[in-house]
This record gives sequence, structure tokens and C-alpha cells, in this order.
Amino acid sequence: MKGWIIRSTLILAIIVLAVFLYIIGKEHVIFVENNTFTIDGKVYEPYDLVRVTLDSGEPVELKKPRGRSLGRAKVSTTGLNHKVLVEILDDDDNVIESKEAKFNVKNNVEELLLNIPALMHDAEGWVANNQKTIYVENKPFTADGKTYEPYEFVRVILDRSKSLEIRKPGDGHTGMDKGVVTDLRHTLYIEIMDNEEKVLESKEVSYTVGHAQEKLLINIPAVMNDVDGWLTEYEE
Amino acid sequence: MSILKSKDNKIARFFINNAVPILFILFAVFAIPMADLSIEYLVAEMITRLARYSFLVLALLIPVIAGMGMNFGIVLGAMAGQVGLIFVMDWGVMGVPAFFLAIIISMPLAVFLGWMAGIALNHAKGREMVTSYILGFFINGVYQLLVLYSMGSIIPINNSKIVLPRGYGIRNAIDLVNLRKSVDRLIPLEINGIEIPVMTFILVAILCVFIVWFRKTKLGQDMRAVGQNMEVARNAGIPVERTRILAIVISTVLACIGQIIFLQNIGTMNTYNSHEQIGMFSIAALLVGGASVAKASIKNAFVGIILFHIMFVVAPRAGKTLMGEAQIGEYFRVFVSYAIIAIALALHAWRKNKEAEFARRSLRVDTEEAAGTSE
Repeated sequence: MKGWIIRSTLILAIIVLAVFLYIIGKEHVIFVENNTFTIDGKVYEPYDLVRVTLDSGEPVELKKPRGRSLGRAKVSTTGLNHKVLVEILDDDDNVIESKEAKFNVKNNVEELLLNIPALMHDAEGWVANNQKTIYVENKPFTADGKTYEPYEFVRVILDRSKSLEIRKPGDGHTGMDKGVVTDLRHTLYIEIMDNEEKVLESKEVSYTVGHAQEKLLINIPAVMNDVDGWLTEYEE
Repeated sequence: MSILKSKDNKIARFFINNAVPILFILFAVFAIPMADLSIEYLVAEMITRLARYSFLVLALLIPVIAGMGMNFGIVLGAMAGQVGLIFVMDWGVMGVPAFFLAIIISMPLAVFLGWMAGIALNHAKGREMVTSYILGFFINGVYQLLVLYSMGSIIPINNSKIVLPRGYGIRNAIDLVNLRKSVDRLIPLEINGIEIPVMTFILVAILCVFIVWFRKTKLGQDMRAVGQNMEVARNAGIPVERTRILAIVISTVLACIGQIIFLQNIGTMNTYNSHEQIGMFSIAALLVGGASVAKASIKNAFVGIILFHIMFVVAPRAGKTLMGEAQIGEYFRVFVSYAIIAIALALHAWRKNKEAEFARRSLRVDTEEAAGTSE
């Protein structure tokens, strides 16, 4: 009996250690961006030059995005609690304003987007999940008293990489699927097919996701018929 | 006359016992000047290789104590270690926590494989080495099936960097960028531009202390008794089969940790090949260090790694100087690593025969002397 207790305690301790190692060692990629941030109609403009230090890592300098520059830097970090120091610099690299903020990361979040102008103005969503779950539905859509019917079989490609195949609801089909995409700008390619998988119609659209939005819903009949409201926030 | 004879015997015995290391020292003396490599480079290479291979080579010692010869089955532990690394890379864990997490994940698998190998080897007493060698091939097939078909389909693997584009199966090469040299560089130390992997050496030192301590424990003594004579050990009440299984389990678990240390140093995992040569190269290194199938020590492990890897480093360059082609040297080092195992095994058999003959002769002399005294 004593032996069993010792063994069980040891196994439990090893499991706890494994969970602890997973939490402290899990990598979180943080994209630090000095980009325009819009929320509730308010626009926060990027700074000419900022220096960002995450935890005790190497500082990164970000200029105002110009041309093809994204005004972004990628920083890898581990652990759940983080500290960020932002320093706004002038042309001679003198600090004209600085701010320190703390944030937590959920363990299942792989990528975060940290917006500097939003952080400096304490705007909601200055740090957000960079992975967005896109729910795609092939269900009836009603707008202005008109109903747009779902298609028999649809293939949807998210960001030219993730393919979803969705059938009309019924016969065991839910008429819905989801995929995970990263970042804010996306493309959606839709192919309407018959039962022999012959493409009848296709369409490509681009869309932008807000910083703070994590789950979005796209309605296929609405996209195909150019009806407003085809992209909405997903509610469980 | 008899004194001279005994002196000759001693010298002959020394050369016979150390034939393989002497051959390698001669090779090194001949090849190092030809390779024209700087001493700093050679020292740096030897330090890196000692850190990389020591744990794996030391994992071979315990089955030798138990009389089971060279455990070619350490590849089983290596495969378990690689499975742990695949999961850690999939979960995106970084640095030293990733190293220890990989050990924790792979250890139950290593224990299971070691236990299975131990049972198989108990059914093949006297032929443990060839059985463990073939067992390695068998488990390699199971491993390939698991990694190539089950991972990503039955076992969830979501990291697109390690899964094949078809959606299941692991890529041929995994970049261990999150883990590379994480243990080696945990305690940074550089002497004359040579990086010293202090933490890895601490882990190796802990293993050496463990082996020395283990030999003095009840289980260690039981293993020694089983290694010397199984029947006598059984009559003394030692559970022979269980003791042999434990020896293989410990060796497999150590090999699992050794493979993780090895791969974190290399920084890239060749999913389908990294483990294959591990058994052969570790055994060759131990034999080069003067160990035999029946006797191996910590000293043999370190001497062997240095001598064997001096050949690895200098052979291609020496081959180029000698023949004008590095390929010849490359061929030579592969050929030599297999040849060492063959020579060592043949020498072991020859030495055993000689010892038996010597024992018979001394018995005959004693009988004749006894007969002379009685007359």
C-alpha cells in the first residue's frame, strides 16, 4: 500500500512538472506593429520612430510604415506574463515619451498582435490574438426581405491555403465549417460546384478583420450575391 | 627463464587487451599531421563530440555489467526520444523546458520498449547482441509506420512546419530551432574561442556518478553476479530474468535521454534516419576505447569517443592529402567503424580461447609439478 502511494505521488509529480514545463516553455509569437489602429471610429496614427522592449529581450526599433514596409517586428517569447516598454524617439534617438504596460497571454494563443499607437492611447484591443477563426456557412441569408438560398456543394479556400468543403444543410450536413487564419488582411475564394464536383461559378473577395475581432462569420450565398453583411462577428 | 616468460606474457597480454585503442592511436599519430588541421580546431571538435555522444556511449555500460554484451537495442531508446521531440516541436515549446518535457514524454515509451526488448533477450540468452540488433530493425519498422502514417491522422499533430503537406506523416527533416544548443548554452563558457557545453558535461558527470553508485547497489551487484554466471546467480536467489530486463530498461531510458542531448546539439532531426546509426557508432566508440563485450568502463567510453571521433574528423582530410580525394577518407571512416566492431568481436573470441588454453596449460603444469613432488 505504501509503495503504491509513493508511486502514485511520483507519477502525479511528474505530470505536474510536465504541465509546468509546457506552460513556461510554450512559445508565443508577438507581432509588434507601429501601424494605424482604428476602433469605434477613432483612428490612432503610427509614430515616426519607436523603440519597443519586450520583457528583458533585445529592443526593436520600428519606423512609420512607408511603401511596402509593414512597420512590424516579430518577437518570440515564452511564459504567460509579459512586460512591454515603448519609447517614442525623435530624429536624434532621444526619448520623447515612454510607457510601460503589462499583459497576459493565454496558453493556447500562438500569435499576438501588439499595436503601439493603441497601447500609447490605452485603446481597447491594443494586444489581441493574431489568429482569427473564420466560420463559413452555406445557409439561407435574408436581407431587405429577400432570402438567398444555400448551394448544393461549395468549396471555400481561405487565404489561398486552407480548403473547406461545405454541403447544403440537411442529410447529416451542418452547412458550416471553420478555419484559422492569421493576421488582418485576407482573401476568400469560393467555387460553387454540382454533385459531380464540376465548378459552376467562382468568386474571389478580399476582406479585413479588426484587431480585436477573433471569430468571424462569412455567409456564402450573401457573398455570391454581393449582399451587405456577408461578414459579421461570430456569436456562439 | 620463467621470469622472462612471465614478462613476455604480461607485455603480450597488454597488447592483446589494448589492441584496438593501440591501432587507433597509431592511426591518429599517422593521420593528424596529414590532415593538417589546427590543434584548436581538433580540441573544439573533440569537446563538441564528447558532449554530443557521451550519454549515448555510457548508456551501453549497464547491459555489459549484466553480461548482455553491447546493447544494439539503444536505437529503441533513440526512437522514443525522437517521438518526444516531435511532440515538443508540435506544441511549440522552447528552450530548456522543451528538453526536459521531451524527456518526460518519451520516458514511458522508452521504459516500455526496454521492457519488451528485455523479455525478447531473455528468450535469446547467449545471442543478445544479434537479437538486439535485429530488434532495432523491427522497432524501426513500427516507428516508421507510427511517424509516417499515424502522426497527423490518428495522433493529432497540428504544426504545419513538421507535418507533410498531405496532412499526415512527419517531414523528413525537422529544424529543432527552438531547442538547438539550449542545454549546451545554459551555462555559457568560452575558453580561447572554444565554446564549452558546461551543462551537458554536468549531465554526463551526473550519469558517471550514477553508474559508479549503481555498481555498488544491491541491484548492481546482482547484475554483476548474473553477468559472471547466470546459474550460480539463480542458485544464490537472484531473479536473473528480472535483473536482465532491468539492465536493458535502464540502458534504453539512458539512450533516450542521450538521443535528445545529441539532437539538441545537432539542431536538426532527421526523422527517419537520425536513430539508425546511433547503436553502431556508440558501440564502435566504446570498443575503440578498449572495452570488450564482457568488460567496459567509464574510462573506455571517454577514450573511445575521443579516438573514434579523431578518426571521423581527420580521415576525410587525410584521405584528400593521401589520395587527392576527400571521398576516399569518407569511405575509409565508414569502413573502419564497421571493421572495428568486427575486429573487437573477433579479438574477444580469440582472447577467450587463449585464456581457456592458458588455464588448461597451467592446470597441466600444476598436475605435473604435483606428480614430480610425490615421486
